Amino acid sequence: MAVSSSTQLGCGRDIDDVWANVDRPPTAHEQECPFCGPARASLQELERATADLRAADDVDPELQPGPLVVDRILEVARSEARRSRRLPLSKPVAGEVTADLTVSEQAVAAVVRRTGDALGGLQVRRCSVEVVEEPAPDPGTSTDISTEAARVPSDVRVSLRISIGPGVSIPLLSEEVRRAVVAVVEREVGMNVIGVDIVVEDVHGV
Amino acid sequence: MSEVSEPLPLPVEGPAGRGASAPAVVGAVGDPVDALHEHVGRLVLAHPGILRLEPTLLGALGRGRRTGLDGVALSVHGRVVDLDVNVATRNTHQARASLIELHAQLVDLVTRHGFVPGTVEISVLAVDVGA
Repeated sequence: MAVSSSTQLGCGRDIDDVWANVDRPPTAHEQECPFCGPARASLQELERATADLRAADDVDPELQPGPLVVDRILEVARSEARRSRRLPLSKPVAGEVTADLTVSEQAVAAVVRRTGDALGGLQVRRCSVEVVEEPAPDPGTSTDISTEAARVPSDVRVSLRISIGPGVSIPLLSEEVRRAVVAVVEREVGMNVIGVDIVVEDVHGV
Repeated sequence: MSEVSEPLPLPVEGPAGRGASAPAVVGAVGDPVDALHEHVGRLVLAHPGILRLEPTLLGALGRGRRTGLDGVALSVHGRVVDLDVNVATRNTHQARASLIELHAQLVDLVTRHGFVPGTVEISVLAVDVGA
């Protein structure tokens, strides 16, 4: 027997629209329409039945996750939250919606932080990384996007908030930090750092 | 976390080796999607710039864990395969260069398994100091 996959009711309305409104009072159309009214009643019955099933599942001991499962999910969820935004490793090309190759902002920030801390004389307190967007290329521009290798690294701007030790020359240290950040992000990540903004917000150890 | 104690002799060459003459993957036992999933995980872990696969929330909840490889999510639409891979890279290798190589190798691998590559997304979630 052929089964219609159409979700359109006889009045022309989609049943998904009726479902979207099932928790709210019926619209004027639903009160009058011979198709929407019965459909709404059926959907409300379905919703009651599924709610009953969910309630039963909530108290079924066989369906409760074990403590290890809960711990594992929470561990990964915390990790996900820390990883923050994903930054494209290559500049976008015309018509591209999402990037295939990305790096988390936190991963880049951790590289910067490790480098800054290794310099001595400063503590990196906060680090953020922003991709510097360029105007989208003209879709008519001939660009070889057949391979990722043909593409250009993304430009990023790194912002640091640091604390420095006593007696440290801020201009000299800032220049050293800039050079180190540009080098390490290019070497370990492969992004092009076009600016490093440094805010000295404290002097520690005094 | 997945551990591979013994490198798989992958039928995959570098990007320079891609082409119509590349041999198809044959002799896979069981579900072909599971076989591809496992090969993807091993290929990623075999790359010298990759330190480990990184688990994700979706992976922990079951998505993409057909073969227990958390960090590799694979979805199939007909013959089209979409891949989502999350990794930690070694700081001795440039992450972008490693991912460019891996991307080409994964596209090639999917093709050799007889599927059509869809989106192949690879994300670096950590750059760690690793030997």
